[in-house]
Amino acid sequence: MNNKELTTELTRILELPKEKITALLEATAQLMAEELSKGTSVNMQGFGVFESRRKEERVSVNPRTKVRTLIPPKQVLVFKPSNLLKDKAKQSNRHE
Amino acid sequence: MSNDKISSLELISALAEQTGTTKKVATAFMRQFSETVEEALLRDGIVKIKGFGTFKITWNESRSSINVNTGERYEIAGHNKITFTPDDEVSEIVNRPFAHLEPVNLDGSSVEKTTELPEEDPHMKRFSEQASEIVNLIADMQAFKPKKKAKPTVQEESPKIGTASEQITEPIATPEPIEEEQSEIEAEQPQEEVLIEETKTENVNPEPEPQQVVAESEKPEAEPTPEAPVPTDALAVEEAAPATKSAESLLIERMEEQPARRSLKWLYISASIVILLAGAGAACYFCFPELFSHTAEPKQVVVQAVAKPTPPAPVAQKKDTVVKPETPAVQKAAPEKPKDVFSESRVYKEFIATETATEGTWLTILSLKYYGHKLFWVYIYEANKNKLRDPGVLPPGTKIRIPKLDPRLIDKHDGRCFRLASKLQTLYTTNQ
Repeated sequence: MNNKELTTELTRILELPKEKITALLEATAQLMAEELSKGTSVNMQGFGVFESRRKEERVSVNPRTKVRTLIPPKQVLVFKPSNLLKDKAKQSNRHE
Repeated sequence: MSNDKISSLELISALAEQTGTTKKVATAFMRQFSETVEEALLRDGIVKIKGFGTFKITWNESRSSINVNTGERYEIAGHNKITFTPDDEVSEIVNRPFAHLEPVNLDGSSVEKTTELPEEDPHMKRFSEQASEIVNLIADMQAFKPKKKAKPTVQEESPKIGTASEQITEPIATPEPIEEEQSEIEAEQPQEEVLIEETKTENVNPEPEPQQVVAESEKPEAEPTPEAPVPTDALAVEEAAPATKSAESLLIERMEEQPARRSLKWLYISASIVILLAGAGAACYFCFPELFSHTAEPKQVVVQAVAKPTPPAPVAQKKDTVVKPETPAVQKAAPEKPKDVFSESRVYKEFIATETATEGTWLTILSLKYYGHKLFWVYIYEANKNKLRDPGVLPPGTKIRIPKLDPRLIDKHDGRCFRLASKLQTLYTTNQ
């Protein structure tokens, strides 16, 4: 399912104008990202937790030029699905 | 990272506020959103949300594992797993606290190498031309030899020993530029010194060489005779030391910088190669005397002729064995010519400053400070070689002396400066 299908689906179910749905979606992503950048995790009940994790700085070596480079620390977004969702996924038998 | 956690309730109120909708609508939206995503995910296996990310179901193959408590093997069955990949824009916002940080290159300015060196291609093109030129020269010199054949070889050898050993002393001098006494010799033969400096790391047996050198350099040696260089040795030498190739190539690159004087220099170069290799051969002799033991008798003769204590004698004798006997020395020493900053070796006697290394001091930074460019760190390194094992490691507290450099050597508008510096850089960073 792509973004378009998702908005169409939400528009149909929520009976809201499409523009509204798009705006809400964008705002959700925005808000979530901002919370996460502060290190706060966002819990969506029954769905999962969006967390930010800090990756420590490290030294990487370019195998070809042997140049060592210090990679700075960074913060990444991680999604941990809830147990409920995990189980559903496990049982979905999507594997051919 | 803090462990704060907000629930969807808080997110909903923030969402309502931002979009100007009622909480009710926001709540309904959130619930429906997660439900729809979940549904679609389980149905299609993938949900793409623009401006947020992609949810995906991936299949994890079954694999065997071991229970760490009991040591039993068991199988983890294959299963589906939900993964989420955030969009770039979202990742950027999440990473904002660290966004100002850039990867730092720890090994000096190797990166600049690629950007700052113009005319790399013509350089390579002419390389083969020059290689063939050197071959021709050597051939010419060989053609010359038989004419002067008549001279007794043993006598001829003695001046050679003098020069050869003097050449060899120089590697000691160069790493420690403070030794002023050496400067006379260095001034006379800048060319040879460069060669030795460049090749000494690649030499077949660098260890024994300096030892011999110490022994010989203590004696008052015969002054370097103009007839000294021995082209014939080149023959022997080329078989003996594969390192010559690289030495030659280094020189070729170096020489290219003054095409006008090229041919003149070739004489000079080949002479210096010869001398160097003669030295290497001598060191070789000391290491493996049994190889040369069958020539024990000539040794006596040489000693008498030269009238010197033993150490130099084996050198001469070794030459007798390695060099083809019918080929005495021929070749004029290259005439004195104006010093050239790029081929001349660098002797550091004057220092403009002394820096004490602290945590985070790099040679490149010092170079930038004093010479205006990071690439010229190699000269600081050369001047402080005796203190620094690795150019990338400056133990805090180390006193780094900043040498005074010829302005022509650190001209930022001259490509040759960068070429030389980067060549040295490659040498020092790879041979450590």
